[in-house]
Amino acid sequence: MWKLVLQRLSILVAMLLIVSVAAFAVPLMSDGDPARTILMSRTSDFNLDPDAVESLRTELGLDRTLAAQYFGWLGHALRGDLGFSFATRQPVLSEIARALAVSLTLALTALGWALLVALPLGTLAAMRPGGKLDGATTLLIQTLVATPEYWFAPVSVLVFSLWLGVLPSAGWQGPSSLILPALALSLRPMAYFTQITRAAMSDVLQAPYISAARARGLSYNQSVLRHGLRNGSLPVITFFALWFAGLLGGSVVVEVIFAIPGMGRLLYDAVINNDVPMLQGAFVAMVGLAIVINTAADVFYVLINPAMRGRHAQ
Amino acid sequence: MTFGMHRSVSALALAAALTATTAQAQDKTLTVADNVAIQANWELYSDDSYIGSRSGCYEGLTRISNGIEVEPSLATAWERTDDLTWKFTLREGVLFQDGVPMDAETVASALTHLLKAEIPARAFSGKVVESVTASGPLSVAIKTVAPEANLPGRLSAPATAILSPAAYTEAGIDPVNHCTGPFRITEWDASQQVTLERFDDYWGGTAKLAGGSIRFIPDANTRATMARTGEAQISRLIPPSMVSQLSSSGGIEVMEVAAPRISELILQTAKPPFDNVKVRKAIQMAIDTAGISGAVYEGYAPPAGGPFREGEPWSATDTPAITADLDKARALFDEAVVDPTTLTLELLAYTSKTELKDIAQIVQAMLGQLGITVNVRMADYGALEPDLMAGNFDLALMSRGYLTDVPEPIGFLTADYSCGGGFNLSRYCDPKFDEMVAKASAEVDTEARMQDYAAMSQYVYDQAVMVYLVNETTFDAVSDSVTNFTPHPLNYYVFDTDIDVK
Repeated sequence: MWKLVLQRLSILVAMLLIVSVAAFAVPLMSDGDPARTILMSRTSDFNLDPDAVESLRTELGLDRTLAAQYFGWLGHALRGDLGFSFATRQPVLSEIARALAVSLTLALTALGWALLVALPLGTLAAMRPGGKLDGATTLLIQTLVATPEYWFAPVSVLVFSLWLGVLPSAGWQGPSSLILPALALSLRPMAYFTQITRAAMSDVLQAPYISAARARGLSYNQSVLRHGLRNGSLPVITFFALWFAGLLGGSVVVEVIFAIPGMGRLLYDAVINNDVPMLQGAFVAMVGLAIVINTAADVFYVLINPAMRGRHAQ
Repeated sequence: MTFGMHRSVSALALAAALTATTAQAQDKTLTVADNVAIQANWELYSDDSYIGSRSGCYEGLTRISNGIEVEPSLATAWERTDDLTWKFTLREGVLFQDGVPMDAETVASALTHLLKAEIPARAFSGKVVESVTASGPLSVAIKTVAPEANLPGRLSAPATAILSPAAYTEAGIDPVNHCTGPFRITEWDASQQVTLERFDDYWGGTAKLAGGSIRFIPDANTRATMARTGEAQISRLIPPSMVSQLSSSGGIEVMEVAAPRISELILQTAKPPFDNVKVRKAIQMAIDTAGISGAVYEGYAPPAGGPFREGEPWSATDTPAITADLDKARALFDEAVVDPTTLTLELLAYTSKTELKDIAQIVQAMLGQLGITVNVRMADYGALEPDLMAGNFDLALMSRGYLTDVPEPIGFLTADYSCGGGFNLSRYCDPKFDEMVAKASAEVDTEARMQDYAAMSQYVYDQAVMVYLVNETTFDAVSDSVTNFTPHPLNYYVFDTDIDVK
């Protein structure tokens, strides 16, 4: 297991370096001049004072060579300093931490709801294959997969904010602000988790150890609960980790529609403003977290599955 | 119960009722949904200063009325003492929100800070202003680099707000408790909102509202929804497509704002065929601006004549919107001895203004009726800018504000039409027009200056420098509960002493 962790750590370092170079290079590949783009964005005008552009270029260090800019950033990053945002002038690290906290809350809530629905529904569907519930579950899965967030988000606002008047339509101002965006984000993972749970449970319920459990006198339901769920939920853990890492990166559509200050909105603003330090910091944080989360999922997988433990020991 | 007791009880009840009413009045707040967030840590040169101004926190020496006239604010009077010097008399009894009294020293220091900022504000940069000095306890002298008739107007720009000395910190501008306006900013979150509270020692009397907030909602449809749910009493910049729906939903009035902004088709005049005025006029004749207004703006943005909206103090009197006439267009091409079917033109349009995509296709189709081939290139403005600035195009669509920072169009006319203009994309260069710019810049008399602008507007219309498409209009959704509010044409102000909610 430690070998696995060490392997992943070495991948993490290499990936972070690659991502930081890519995040640095991408804005430079576009035709626009970053200093001009930032100033246009700040003043809502295309007619810029050339002196102001030059002052901004100097202030942001964009007059240095590209190598000096990148290695300067890397040197500071190694000391835990991701620099200051070109746009907000705030430390990148604290801005990312703030946005991550929002996206983390949103992602955990959305995925928590998805699991709450998916695990029982997928299990029940697998217990009666071809039954009415199984058919209804398949229909639900197809519907949820085909429901885009950019459609569901405004419709949910229409229903819950405008018609029923029970939830706020936008902003990040307390727990009630969390419900609609988390709901919008939970639909697709809910569908996939249900599908995976159903497939995994179908395999598990035909496994010899379930027959053995029943031979020992356990009822079908008891066998499912005690032995089926634990094994059947293993693939869900992998998918949970993937979705979690993805949602931590934020959802631009949902965060812009609901005016939520998470990672999606942070990245959206950073791209619009050519905010290179923010892009670099955000990509590095997201990729780092994705690798850490997936490593944690693999470790967890090994811990709860004795068969895997044996395989790693060999 | 005696009569006296009755009277006491009634008096108590009345007092209680009055107290309740007063408390209710004191508690009244307003929420505004705005489209822009704080994006430059309150740097004065940036749009963040507009948020400070709309919050009722920032104030300058002058202000702009809804009729776009310069009015007294922190200065009560001003006069030009010589060609290069203006003297401003400051208002007595003004306190900053941190209790520091405003005087000539604090004003001179605030404006000097702005003048020496690393990135200058366009309205008050070293290119225009040389120095600001306290010339008396309540008077400041501002010396300009060249004669500057517009200085009082420039001092209304939100960037020129006078803040308490404590606002100018090493980390940047700190607006909290440091303005002179009727509302203080108590808290702010760059991506979410600013929270406001009434400033009781305001020089202009006590505000009717106890406070409020400006929330930053980037999505226009969400802002419209917030108006309908009542989460925001004022939602700025509603999409035209939602105007009729909001107007009919009850409890909301959609207020139209005649924005000082023109959508235009720029013609590259430095090279053939648009170096020929007849060809330019032929293109004007081929573009159905009324059709564009109806199809793209649902009729809410009127077809434009000249660069300015009809009825503005600087607009020319004889610049009617041109009615498309293909026969006249063909006749003009014949006069110019240019065969339109041989023309292949490149049209540039940027993506951040979504309407331009539709307009580009319409222009392509309309010119196609004359046999002209138009290749449209749509991209982010940053990607198009090098070609736009270098003149590597034939046609370009642009949305231009003409009162940016200065409440008169001299900056726009100079930048977009004069030979050395900083944003002269059409590369139009005419010494006669430059003479007109120089005359208007030096003109001290306001009325005469307006006539100069109108003459310039007429001149570029007659020369068909561009095809003026529509005068842009914006919409604010305002709850019926809001009283004493009219959208400001330059979007400078929202929270003031009068605005109230029922």
